[in-house]
Amino acid sequence: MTVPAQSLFVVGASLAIIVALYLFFGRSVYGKALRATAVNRVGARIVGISATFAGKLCFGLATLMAAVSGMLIAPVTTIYYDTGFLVGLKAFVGAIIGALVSYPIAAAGALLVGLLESFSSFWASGFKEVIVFTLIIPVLLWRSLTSQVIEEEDE
Amino acid sequence: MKPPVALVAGATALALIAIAPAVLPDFYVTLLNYIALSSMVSLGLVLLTGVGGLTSFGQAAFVGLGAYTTAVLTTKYGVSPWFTLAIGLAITTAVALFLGFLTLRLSGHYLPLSTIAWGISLYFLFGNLEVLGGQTGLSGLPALELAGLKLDSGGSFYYLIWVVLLLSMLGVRNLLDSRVGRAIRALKRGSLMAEAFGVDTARVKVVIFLIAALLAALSGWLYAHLLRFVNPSPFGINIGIEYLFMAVIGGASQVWGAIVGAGLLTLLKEWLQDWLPKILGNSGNFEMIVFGVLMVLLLQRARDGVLPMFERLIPAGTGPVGPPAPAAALLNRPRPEAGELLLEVRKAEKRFGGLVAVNELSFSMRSGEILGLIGPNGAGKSTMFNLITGVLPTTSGEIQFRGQRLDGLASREIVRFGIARTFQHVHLIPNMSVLDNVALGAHLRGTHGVLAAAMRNNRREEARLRFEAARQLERVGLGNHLHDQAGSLPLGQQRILEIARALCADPVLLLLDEPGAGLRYMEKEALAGLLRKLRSEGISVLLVEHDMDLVMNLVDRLVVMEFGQKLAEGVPSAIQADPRVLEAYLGGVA
Repeated sequence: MTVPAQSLFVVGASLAIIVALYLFFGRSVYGKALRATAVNRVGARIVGISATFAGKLCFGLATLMAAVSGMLIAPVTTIYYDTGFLVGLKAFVGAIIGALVSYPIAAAGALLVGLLESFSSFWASGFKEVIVFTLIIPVLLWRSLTSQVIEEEDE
Repeated sequence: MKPPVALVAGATALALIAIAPAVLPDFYVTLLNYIALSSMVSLGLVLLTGVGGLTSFGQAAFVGLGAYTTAVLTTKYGVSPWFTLAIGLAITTAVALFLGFLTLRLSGHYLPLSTIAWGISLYFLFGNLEVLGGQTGLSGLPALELAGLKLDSGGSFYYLIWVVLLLSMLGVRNLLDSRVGRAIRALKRGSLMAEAFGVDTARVKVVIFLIAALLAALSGWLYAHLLRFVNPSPFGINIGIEYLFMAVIGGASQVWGAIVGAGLLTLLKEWLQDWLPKILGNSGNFEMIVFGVLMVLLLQRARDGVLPMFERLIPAGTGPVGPPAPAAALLNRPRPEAGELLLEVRKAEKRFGGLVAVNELSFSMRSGEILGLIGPNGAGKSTMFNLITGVLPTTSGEIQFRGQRLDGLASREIVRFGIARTFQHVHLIPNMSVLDNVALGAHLRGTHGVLAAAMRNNRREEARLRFEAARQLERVGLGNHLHDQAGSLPLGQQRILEIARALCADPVLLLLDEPGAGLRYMEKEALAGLLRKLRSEGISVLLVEHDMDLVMNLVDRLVVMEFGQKLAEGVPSAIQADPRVLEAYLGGVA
């Protein structure tokens, strides 16, 4: 079995991005500032973090990663004008599996989405989208049974 | 009382709708049909998203459920279209209840994301099931027949669609102006306050989700019989997003926003499709690009949609004035005998991780008493309130009210015992009138549900609830502000409003969390007078307050807390002389 170089490149780039994000949010001051803003916007502003800047930075980072993934995937698939729409939505499924907080679990979730899609396109090609997006329902059920509902004071 | 301008505008609109098919070319009648069908879906979204604060991108899938149910049953099994409407609504109910059960508990991003997911799922299901005709769809649906009349043209269908739409709008508007409606309008501000007055917020969310889904399915059924053909494309996720656009463009917090949004979006799309290729000299879906830009601009500049802009053009009506008409008083629960043991807290404890906020606190309260709970900031007073009212679960210990255990119950169950509270940080619905805010407190004293409200069958009960709310507002001294928006009151008066709301729940025990904060001297005097009067009527009061003049002159007994523990207990004069209390407050007396 030969592995195309592009696939190795994709996997390598994903791992590199995960490590980079881990270091950024765990070690750097900017990363910690972003996390602080996510937890408590008012508190973060009081200690001098600009919430607007944090938002722009996060948006910028997320956009950058999306663009990189677009570049990586372009050589191995056919690109249509609306390819990004479904890819982006599937990314959500993966991210929700990681509860929108964990990179490794989100990556594992994305892997699961990919595997599921490949297998279902083999066995029941017409239903592959149905299967992938229905996957989210047991995940959500599990999330809603385990997550604690925290009431936020709106001050 | 409606201002005449609005009445004239409404009558004109109705007349225009009625004569439209006679004067407009067929093309525009078709367009109006589509506008009405979309309005019905976005009406559901006004209720769900605009008022209830729950975002759904997946409504198009419910439209599809309604459309496909009738398409399959009428073409393959020859079932009467009117019967398939009932079946379609039943199927939609089952699906919506299932999805609602799974996803409505989710907070933050999860809910909208999950609506996208099941929206896409259902769309691809429509397109891939053999029995639904795959991507080609199903054709040859029978025309509707109504009273011997065959509705087989756009013109004849027009009246059916518009009558159904206007009735739905009336129903939703009536619903919002009712007991359940007040609970729905409270959802956006979090569940804490609504639950404290007995509203089962999880159930209310499911109810509005279901109503929105049923409106969508109804629209789908009409759509299928108007076109007499269905295929999957109008039920995709982009259309689901478009429905949400319509609600937002129109002004998602008002029923009429649905029609305005659907109308604007449909017409604009039509015109842009006509004109853009001519201007650009090139064919293509340019209108979507223009839409995207317009939407961003709208969200930046006019978040409440375009309806408020129209309203500014119409001279403001006077709105309701004066108190609501007198109605039969609501029944009061029997008050306990003075001196009966009311509340007993035994070794209540609350830990937040390592922090012990309330540490083995015990005290009891007798009926007809005003008990003050005082202590420095962070002593655990508000936490104690939250334990008694079930907002937080106790870690250990026991709380009893008239011999029944309260710990372990949810706050919406505890209020049934006759325990009502106010909040340290006021929890009001700012864009609702003072009267409606207070009437929410009487939620448990009414019984009429969604259907009764939509059909205006609840008027007698509603009058009684509103009259009770007005009576309590009069009593606390806010009788001149009945129809003001609650958010426009100064903070001190908002706290007083919370007391009136609590009184509306017909309490035996009233829990007041810093009611005096933000009040001026005279207002505090009035507050003290009110509380004494309540005591004389047999209502007991548990009071957290920092104003020592107010507390010392008012309460019968005091419990002093520090670091979650009871420091002292006794009559005010004894507490004032207690050296431990002085030390806690003043840091030791030299």
